[in-house]
Amino acid sequence: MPTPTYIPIATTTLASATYSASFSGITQSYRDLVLVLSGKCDVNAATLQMILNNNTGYNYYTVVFDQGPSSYQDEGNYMRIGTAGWWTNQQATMIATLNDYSTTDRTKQVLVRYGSGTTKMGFTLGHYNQSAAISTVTVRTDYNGAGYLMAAGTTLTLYGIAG
Amino acid sequence: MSMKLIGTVTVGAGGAATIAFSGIPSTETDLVLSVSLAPSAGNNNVLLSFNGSSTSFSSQYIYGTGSATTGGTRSDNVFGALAGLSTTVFSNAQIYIPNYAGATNKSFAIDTVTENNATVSFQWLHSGQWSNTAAINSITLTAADSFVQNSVVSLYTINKVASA
Repeated sequence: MPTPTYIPIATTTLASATYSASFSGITQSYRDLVLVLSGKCDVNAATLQMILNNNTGYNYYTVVFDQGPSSYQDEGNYMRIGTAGWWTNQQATMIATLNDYSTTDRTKQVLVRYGSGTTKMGFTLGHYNQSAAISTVTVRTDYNGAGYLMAAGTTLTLYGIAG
Repeated sequence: MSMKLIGTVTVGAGGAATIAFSGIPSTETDLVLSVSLAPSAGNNNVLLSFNGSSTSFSSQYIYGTGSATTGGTRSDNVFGALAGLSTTVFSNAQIYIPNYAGATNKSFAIDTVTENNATVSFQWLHSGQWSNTAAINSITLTAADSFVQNSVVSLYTINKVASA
């Protein structure tokens, strides 16, 4: 179990409604990364996606367990974060842990907790089938259009966890 | 190191009805509570209060028992299984509250397990909201029964700004 040091690497607070936010040039000096999002989708039922190392190939597999309770699988060109509409116009929390992100000998696993008080919540396990170290993490909504964006004031912070 | 211990409360002999932290500084970014509790009787619910308020809470949850899963919603401040499973089976839980000092409603996540090396146990995931824009300066956990001796809760802060 890594020491939970939560050393801040970078943070951003969105000045306006935004489709995508990225952290690039991530230092390789930690064992794990934790990405914390506190915010909301601006109007509609968007969900979130994660892209690693700007790779939009068919390399992502996700299992979702949500409050239904239900569980389902997704795969494609992005890692799915959450049930549709999970943070629609609701202050919400998303905590993603990227385990062993700096290794080059294994594919990458991402654990995500997401939810709000009155819409939806759940847990996802994401798999990225590439072994390169993670140096860029992008979070975006599933539709680049007004009403489906991360709202102004949404904060994303990336922490390093010492191993 | 941005994660700092603010305080730890350990329940003494005779148990306690509540565990509270007050005077939380508003200078940090997130709060994390590390929770290990056990109930004095059969009710493992915990009532959560922020700034002395037990109203304006809402939440959703999923839990598994080892043989079934259930999900649902609540419109109060009651959080299941956070107080453990029995007088000798303590919970292992984390409460994460991001942006606790911001001027928005407060969203938080609670993850709890109460494994007891038996066929029935609990894993609960909660997603909650306190619909209040005030900075959180105190947190109280109130037992549905009471917390047994050696129940312990630690409060940490996390800051998104690197220290010099």
